[in-house]
Amino acid sequence: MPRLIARRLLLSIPLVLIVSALTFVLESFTPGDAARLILGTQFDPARYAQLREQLGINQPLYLQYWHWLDGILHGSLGQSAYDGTPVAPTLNSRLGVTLFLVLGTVLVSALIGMTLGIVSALRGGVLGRSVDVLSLAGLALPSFWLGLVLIAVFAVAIRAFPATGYVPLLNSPADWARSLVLPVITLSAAAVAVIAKQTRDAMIDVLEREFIRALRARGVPERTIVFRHALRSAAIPVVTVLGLLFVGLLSGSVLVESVFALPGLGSLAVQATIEHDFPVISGIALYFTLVVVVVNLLVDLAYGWLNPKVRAR
Amino acid sequence: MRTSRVTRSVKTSRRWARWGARAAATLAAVLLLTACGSSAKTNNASGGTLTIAQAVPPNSLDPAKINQAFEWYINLAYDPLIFWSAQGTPQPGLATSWKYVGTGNTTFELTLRPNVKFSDGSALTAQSVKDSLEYQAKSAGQAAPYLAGKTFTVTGPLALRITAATPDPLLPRELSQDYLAGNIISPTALKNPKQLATSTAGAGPYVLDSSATVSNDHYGYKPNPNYWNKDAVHYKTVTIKVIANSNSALNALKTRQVDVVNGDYTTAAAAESAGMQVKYAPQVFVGLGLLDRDGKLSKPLADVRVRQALNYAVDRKTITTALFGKYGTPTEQTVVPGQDGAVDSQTYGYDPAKAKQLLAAAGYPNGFDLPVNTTSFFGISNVNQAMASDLTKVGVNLKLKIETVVDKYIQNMVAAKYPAIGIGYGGQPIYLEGPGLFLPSAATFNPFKSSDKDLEDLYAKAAAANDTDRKALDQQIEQRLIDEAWFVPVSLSPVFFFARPGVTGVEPSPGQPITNPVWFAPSGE
Repeated sequence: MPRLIARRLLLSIPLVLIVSALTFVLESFTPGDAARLILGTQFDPARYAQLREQLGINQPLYLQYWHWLDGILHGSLGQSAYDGTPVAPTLNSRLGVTLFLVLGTVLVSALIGMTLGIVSALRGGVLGRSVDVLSLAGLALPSFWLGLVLIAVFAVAIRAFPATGYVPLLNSPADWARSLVLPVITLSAAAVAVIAKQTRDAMIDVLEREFIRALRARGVPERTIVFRHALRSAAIPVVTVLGLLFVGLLSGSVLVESVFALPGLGSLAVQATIEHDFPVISGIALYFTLVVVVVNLLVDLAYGWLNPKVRAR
Repeated sequence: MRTSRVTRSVKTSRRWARWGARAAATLAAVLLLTACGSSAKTNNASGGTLTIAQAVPPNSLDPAKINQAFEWYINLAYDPLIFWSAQGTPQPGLATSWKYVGTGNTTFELTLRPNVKFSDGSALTAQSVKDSLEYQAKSAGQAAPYLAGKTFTVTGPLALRITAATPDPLLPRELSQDYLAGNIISPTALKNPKQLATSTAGAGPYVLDSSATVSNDHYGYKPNPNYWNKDAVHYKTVTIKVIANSNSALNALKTRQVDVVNGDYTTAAAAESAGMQVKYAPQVFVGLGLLDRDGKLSKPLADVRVRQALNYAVDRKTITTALFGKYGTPTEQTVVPGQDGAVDSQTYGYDPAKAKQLLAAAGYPNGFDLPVNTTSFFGISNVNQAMASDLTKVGVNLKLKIETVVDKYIQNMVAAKYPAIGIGYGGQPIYLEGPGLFLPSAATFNPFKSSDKDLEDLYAKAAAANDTDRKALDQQIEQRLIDEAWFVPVSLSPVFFFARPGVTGVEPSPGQPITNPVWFAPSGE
């Protein structure tokens, strides 16, 4: 186990380098820069050059990248090219919002999706087909549209949840939960469908295997068969989907955070991209990469827990 | 055997169905409890907290570096030398009186308000104002051009003289809150100007509360304990919340999460039907900029008759009504009615026959193709698309290239890649429009460096004229722009502010379209 963790962490180093370098290069292809944005329509070549120098974006791309890497080695993510604020505290204050949003979505989707999947696998028929229909419907609904509809109904009409904004957990746990309900439901719509379908298919497959028949023949209670044996085997592909879902939700959070005005990394990524803020964009890419590495590691560990064969390798 | 298996399966399904139902019920109960746990957090603007929404966070809180579009973030903390009132007139701010000395609008004297302290406790003196203005002049910010070529002389403890190398008739406007230069910074803070990006050090009614601020999300302000005019402090706290999506901002307003938002015409009707105050004033002229007036990229544009034909060919009233409804104003001018330079008479009516006649006289009886770079920002391309339909009727085909990234659009414009552009330009007094819009020095909107001697002579003459003469000269400048048809203005798009009932002072006007948050107050006061 420690070797697995060490290997994963070592592999993350080139991954971070590649992702951050790609981020720098791709961002450089977008037209304009922070200085042009700050000057707006009052563009003047001399002031533009002066501002570029002040912001440090007049240097060649490779030098900017090197300075950024050098900063990381010295424990600093640098300063925003747009507003001059230190990047790390900004990202740290927003990381929790995105993680709570994504974790909440994964938990809610897993709970509902797996329940639906198990029930439809055991019952089949209309319920099974309903899960299929639900999957398609959930995937087809654009999250930003669903978010706006939920706001119109549950925030504006019923006033049950806030339309926008985020309340930190420590300020008020109840308000924190309320601020996350609608965004989590918005993101969960598609995720529930995917997990339900994956769980149903995996459960049907496992329930037809020989070892399940053998367990039934030995008179093992059905609940034990389903929970302890079938679900454990069926959970492996579901865990894979959950891992992928988590990673996918990081990008999915971009739109939802904008619609609900949540101060997370997703909305910051949109803002920083518009502002051509290299240090912030690169910082977000670094954070997302590290989150992906950790999630993949957890998925690998979960495989080992679910399947002793994997542990033995 | 089969029967018993089926029975078992049915029993199991029922059990799972019950388990699933219980799980769903539990989740629903959690949601319900969460919803009922506390009432929706709302703002009561009666002297408590004022929350206002802005779409974009500021690039800096330093008045010398902030983009003019984000002025609300510093309006709260920095009093200007001269307040430009809601009605569009100059009022005393940190300066109690001011005047031009002699003729020619080159010497300007200010007397400062006594006993004023900045939020950090430093005193306002003529020297501190001089230091602040010199700091602004040296910066690369938007105020720098207004201060370029000017020298500042302390003539008394509270008296300052500004001497301009060339005439500048609008110093009172330039030293007001909107043009940033007049927002005076504390001399103590200027010793370490880097801190100004993330904190405030002005002599305004509020001061940034860093403990209530999360950069890029919300900015909290608390009353400035040293403020000279305590009656003007209407709230115990003010928060500017960044909400990028205009629909989300409107929803926040409807649910009382915010009190005032900077709206737009796409959500104006919805705000009105929700019972919100919808305030607006004409601000931005939208249409075409015919930049290539020497015909380098599009030969027909070199002929004034062609440019005039384009102005005759557009049905401004129909386009404006269709796109902006009751909020828009048809226009053929670059300035807003009531501002310096606005003319009362109409030059171009909607007359396609006249347009065809002018095109034929210029040698283009069958029209021509005109490449236009435009942007979807601010609805500019919508206006251009509507114009294209009218222009096709006289044979002129607009080849619209719509940029969704504004930067790309500006980059193309500055590089003079297109003979014409879709334009949206915030109407200013004509003197201030000169360097930004039509003089050869206007780097963005005059990339071909078009020059018109009559126009420049009029501009120079108006700059040095007294107020009475200048009014007529300003109108002559605008009329010259109309006659030379350097632009095809179509509509004045308004700037919008939506406010909850109970908030007063949200009153934009043609003379001051950007309302100042320090004027917002609870209706009970």
